[in-house]
Amino acid sequence: MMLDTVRDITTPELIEIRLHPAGFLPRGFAFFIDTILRWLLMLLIAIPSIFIGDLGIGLFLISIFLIEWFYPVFFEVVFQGKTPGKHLVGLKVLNDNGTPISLSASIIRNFLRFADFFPLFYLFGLISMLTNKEFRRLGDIAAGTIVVYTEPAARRFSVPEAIPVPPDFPLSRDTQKTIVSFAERSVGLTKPRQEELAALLPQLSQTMHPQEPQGAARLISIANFLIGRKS
Amino acid sequence: MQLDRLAIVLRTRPANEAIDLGTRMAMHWFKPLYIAWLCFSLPVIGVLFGLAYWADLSYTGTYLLIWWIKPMLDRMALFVISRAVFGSAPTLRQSMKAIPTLLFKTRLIRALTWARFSPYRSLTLPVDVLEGIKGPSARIRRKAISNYIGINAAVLTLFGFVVEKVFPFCALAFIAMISIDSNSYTDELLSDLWRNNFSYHSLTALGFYIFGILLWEPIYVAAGFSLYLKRRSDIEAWDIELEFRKIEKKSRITSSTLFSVLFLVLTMGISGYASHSYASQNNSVIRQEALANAPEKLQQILQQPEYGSKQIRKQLKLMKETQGKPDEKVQYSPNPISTNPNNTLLALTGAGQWMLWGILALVVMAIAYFIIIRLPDIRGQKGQKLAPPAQIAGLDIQPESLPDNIAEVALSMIHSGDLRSALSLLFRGSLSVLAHRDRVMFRSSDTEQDCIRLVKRAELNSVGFFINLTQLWLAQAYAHRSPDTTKLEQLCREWPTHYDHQSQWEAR
Repeated sequence: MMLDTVRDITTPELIEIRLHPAGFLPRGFAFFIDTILRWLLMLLIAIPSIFIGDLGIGLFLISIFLIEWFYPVFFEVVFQGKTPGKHLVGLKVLNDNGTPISLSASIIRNFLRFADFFPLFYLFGLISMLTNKEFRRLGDIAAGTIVVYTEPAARRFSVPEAIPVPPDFPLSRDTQKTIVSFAERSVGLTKPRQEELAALLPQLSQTMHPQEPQGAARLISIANFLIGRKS
Repeated sequence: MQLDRLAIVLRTRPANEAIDLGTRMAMHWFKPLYIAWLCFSLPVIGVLFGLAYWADLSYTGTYLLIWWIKPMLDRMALFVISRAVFGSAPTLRQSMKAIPTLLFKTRLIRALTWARFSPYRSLTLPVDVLEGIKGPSARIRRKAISNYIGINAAVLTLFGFVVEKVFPFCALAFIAMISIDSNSYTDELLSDLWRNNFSYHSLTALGFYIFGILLWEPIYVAAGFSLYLKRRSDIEAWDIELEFRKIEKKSRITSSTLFSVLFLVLTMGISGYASHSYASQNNSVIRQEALANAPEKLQQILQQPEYGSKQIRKQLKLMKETQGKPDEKVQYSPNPISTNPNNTLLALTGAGQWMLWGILALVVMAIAYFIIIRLPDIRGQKGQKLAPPAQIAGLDIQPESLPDNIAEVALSMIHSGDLRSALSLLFRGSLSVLAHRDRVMFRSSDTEQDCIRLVKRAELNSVGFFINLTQLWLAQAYAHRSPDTTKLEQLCREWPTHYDHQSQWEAR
């Protein structure tokens, strides 16, 4: 079995979706940001309520309760599973079948924070996240939710420009994909390493015509052809 | 480095996902990793504790000493996890054998002195331990590795630092929660820790700190190693290399099959035109040699993984089976009654045994009674049941209803012109004889065609005659088409040769 951290889901329409569950480090960081924001919010409420007197203190205590318990629920349900901290780190909460999180699931996972916090400073939550295959804390397991990385926005091909050259023979879909990704990665690779990799595919990277580019340069040219650049 | 033996999926993953994968790695190879890790680090920590006690070190001193020695312990965890990721998790013995190499050839002094405070500790550890390079080139290498993802490694280290500090607090808080007088417990604890000397409470705190390190450090090392793998995979495009190798392999396979087909076609074509070839003396010598060498070669080939190389299977066996020789075994199971007659329990079992024998005897007797006495009766009933029916297809076939000399009666009927009753009589006679003499199992519901089928199945000599007769009868009975009288007369004469006179077979 090959180890990886993804969760593959097949929808009823037979569409494959791949979720990338997030581990303790980004989640801890997001929680840290959220905590600071919560405290700032409480401070903002505290300052005017001092001047109101006893009623102000009462209102302040109620607002502490609401912020402490409903801050994550509110943001997760209204902003597609993203609290401000999660948004900054690049995370979101989903139901574990990939659908947007529902109100009840969000309430369960956030009210069970108490179990994760036990005995102090989220020790049980950390243990649960370390041992669970999808890095879920106890609240996630109970609510059937999962915290995933938000996918980066669809990017355009970053294949370096070269004169497009058609390959000598038709290529399968996977091969085309691999060659394009090689061309995209070639920017970060050293020249000798590029040639080393190109030498693994002699049929593609070598050609009889001496005036055409050879080796890695030829693979990049083929990639240019494959993504449809015109000479 | 054999990339195809990697036990993790190679893809371009963000640094955070690489750290997540590291924790998955640590959990996946939990057993070999933690066993080797504990076997190495527990004695080391024990020695350190002894030293601290001997040197009369304070609580904080011991604490720092254990914190300081961590890079040395990390090397063992890295050894196990790196081997596991590249396809073969080492056994405990292999890990223990690697200790000298890990201690003396992995730049441990540097790691324990000025590099101890490096936040990239987990990331540069594989460079020191696995790559085995020294001097300026090692410095460049470390820099290249910690480019871009150094910040993630630093955050990981910071997180680990927090976890290690917080874990004892959590554990002690847990104890305080479940202890009866939690307030006084926490008060004592805090005052003891504050006074910074060895006591029951400070020892507990230190113990939890060590426990936390023991649990956390392998995960930290695995996460750092995973980050290192991610970085190297990015620099060297490991995933692309693996894909390229796959493509090349596939194309080689298809081209080789194409080539072999071509070869086959060509050789077949040539052999068609080839002139005669003679087996020379030389050839037979080569053949003999090849035959002599065959078993070894076959063994070699069968050893290859494609043919499922030798496998050792272990299974549990009862001790009794492996113990001693067969004659000892006879001694081992003596008759309980003879050896220990006083034991009532054994006597009881003996009585039970006799009872079982008695039941068996009864069963045998019952079976014998059934076979000897009852079976003939049952068979007799069965025989009654199997008696031929009184009539078939509306025709009475009881012997009593038929005249004695059927053929003659039929002939006289023909002469008197009653062809229909003559044929009917012959057919009825045939059925009667077949049913009573040849024991053909007709049923009263059978049609004429059924009768033909049954007679065919009985494989009698008279099949042809019977079919002929039946068809004539069918034509007569249902279509009112009478056969020629001459033909009918011949039928009557032939009839007794197949179906003897009734009196003859009844007497038998």
